[in-house]
Amino acid sequence: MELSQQGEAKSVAPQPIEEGIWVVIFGELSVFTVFFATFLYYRTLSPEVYRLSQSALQLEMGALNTLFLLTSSYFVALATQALRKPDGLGQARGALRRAIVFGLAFVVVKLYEYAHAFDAGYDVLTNEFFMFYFTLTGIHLMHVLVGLSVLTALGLQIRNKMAGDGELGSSLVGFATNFWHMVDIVWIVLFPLLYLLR
Amino acid sequence: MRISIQAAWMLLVMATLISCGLELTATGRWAGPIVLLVAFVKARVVLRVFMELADSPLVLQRLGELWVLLAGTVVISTYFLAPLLVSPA
Repeated sequence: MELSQQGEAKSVAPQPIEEGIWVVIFGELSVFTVFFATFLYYRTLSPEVYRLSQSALQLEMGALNTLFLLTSSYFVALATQALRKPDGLGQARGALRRAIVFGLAFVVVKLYEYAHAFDAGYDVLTNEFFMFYFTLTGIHLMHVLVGLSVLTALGLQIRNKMAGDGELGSSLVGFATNFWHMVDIVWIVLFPLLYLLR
Repeated sequence: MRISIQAAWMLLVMATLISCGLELTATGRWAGPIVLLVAFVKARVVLRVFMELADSPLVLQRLGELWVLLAGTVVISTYFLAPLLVSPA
């Protein structure tokens, strides 16, 4: 936030982002919307199978993962704000580091959930619910891994700029940060669909 | 009304915990749609505050609002309409 001459906080315009990034973001969100609707439709065909299978999921792990991703997104937003300040590179790098840690925590919890499910004898071929569960969360997890890779690349670029070696591309900043928020949005909808709906 | 990213994070966390509580305790048929509605409200908060669409050019703001509206409508409509489309056994 910048301060006006009267000392009032005013919002700072975001950095310009290439239009192509938004095509990717909203395109991905739209594809996932179709997945969500498809899941809900098929859920209606076998409600008892879905309800019983859902009870095998660990709700607390899903909720924890939601909090991890929300917190990670928060730190990415903090990093974005810091990058606008003339002396904000250090702060941005610190916030990005925290964002990546929370993102990795999500991955660890997700893999633990998968291991727990496999141990209990559930896999993608068990029934329709688990086919959806493993496919949807698996596709989302791949997006998480891509997002973490791009955030790491951004962090390295920030480090190089701090060392006076290289420039910080606004395209990478825009893509890395908004892709990560998109991953968060997908999980925000996926979590209640898979874990909460009765 | 503009909110800070800190306030947005607290709102998102609270909404998540309320959703979990609501779905676990409420048994009425409206618990599901309410939880889904809360999810799309949360998505809108992420779009407008974390992704800064609230301060972006109007076309992007409209695009974000349109996705929330369309996606929310599609998902919640499917929740209600799918049982009507399924033939009784």
